[in-house]
Amino acid sequence: MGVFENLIYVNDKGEVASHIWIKWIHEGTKEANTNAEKQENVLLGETTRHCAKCLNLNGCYFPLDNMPEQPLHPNCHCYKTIIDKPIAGRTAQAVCYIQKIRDYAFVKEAKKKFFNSNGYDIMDSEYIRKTIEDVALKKYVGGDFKLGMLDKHGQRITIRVELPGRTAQGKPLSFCTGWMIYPGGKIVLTTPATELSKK
Amino acid sequence: MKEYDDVKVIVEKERYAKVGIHKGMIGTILDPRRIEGDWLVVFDGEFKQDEDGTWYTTDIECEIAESDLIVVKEYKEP
Repeated sequence: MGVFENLIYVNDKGEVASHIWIKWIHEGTKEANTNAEKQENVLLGETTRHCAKCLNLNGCYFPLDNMPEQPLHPNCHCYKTIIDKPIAGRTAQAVCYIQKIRDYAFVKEAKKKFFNSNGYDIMDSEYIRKTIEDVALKKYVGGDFKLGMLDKHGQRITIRVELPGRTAQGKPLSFCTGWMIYPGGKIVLTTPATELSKK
Repeated sequence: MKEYDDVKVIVEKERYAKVGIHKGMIGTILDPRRIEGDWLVVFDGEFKQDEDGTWYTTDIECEIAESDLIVVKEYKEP
């Protein structure tokens, strides 16, 4: 797609994704960019009667047509502001820790069997990690994800990723991955294999 | 208790049962944070394929109180 990559995103089903992006704002509190800050927000919510879910959404980026409902609850004073569409690698990033692949996916029996039967083994962990990161980031900035569970740990999204096919049929291996949204266009992989949507 | 530890649910509670989690089930902590005493635990399910050929799992993700869990396999970084 070249120069148009950041202008138009068409998902695997041929649908054009939204180009209007928003930033979730919970005024008067800082954005939780780290796990420790997210945890602080939960404690703040307990003492100030601010909603921990809203505090954790503060600063997160969503496409206008694929965001949590606003207002989120009665007396919710969160609002949204229009932002430039995030750009992969510049204003958006995806993080998949190697442990999620090497020490989880290739340890849990069902997941290990799934990857093995599709031609991947533990030696491919870094390749899988990097591919998942790259594909998920492209899909996140394209708005090509499904909103999942929102709780005090944060907003989850499901992103379908593809790995090159390694079986005799050669078809790409497509599967659902679970992510947590952080402020500033950052997503972090929670689980490398998940439900279609956890809403 | 920490991320990647395998943990076992040691109580039967309505809030867990509602999402299919029962006493004795074993899952894995998949978030480094313990929030309000709860860990994010993922319980393994099966792989299934949707009509587009995309694989998904029937895994269950649930926030579980640390006091309702015991570690059955401690994670050690290789």
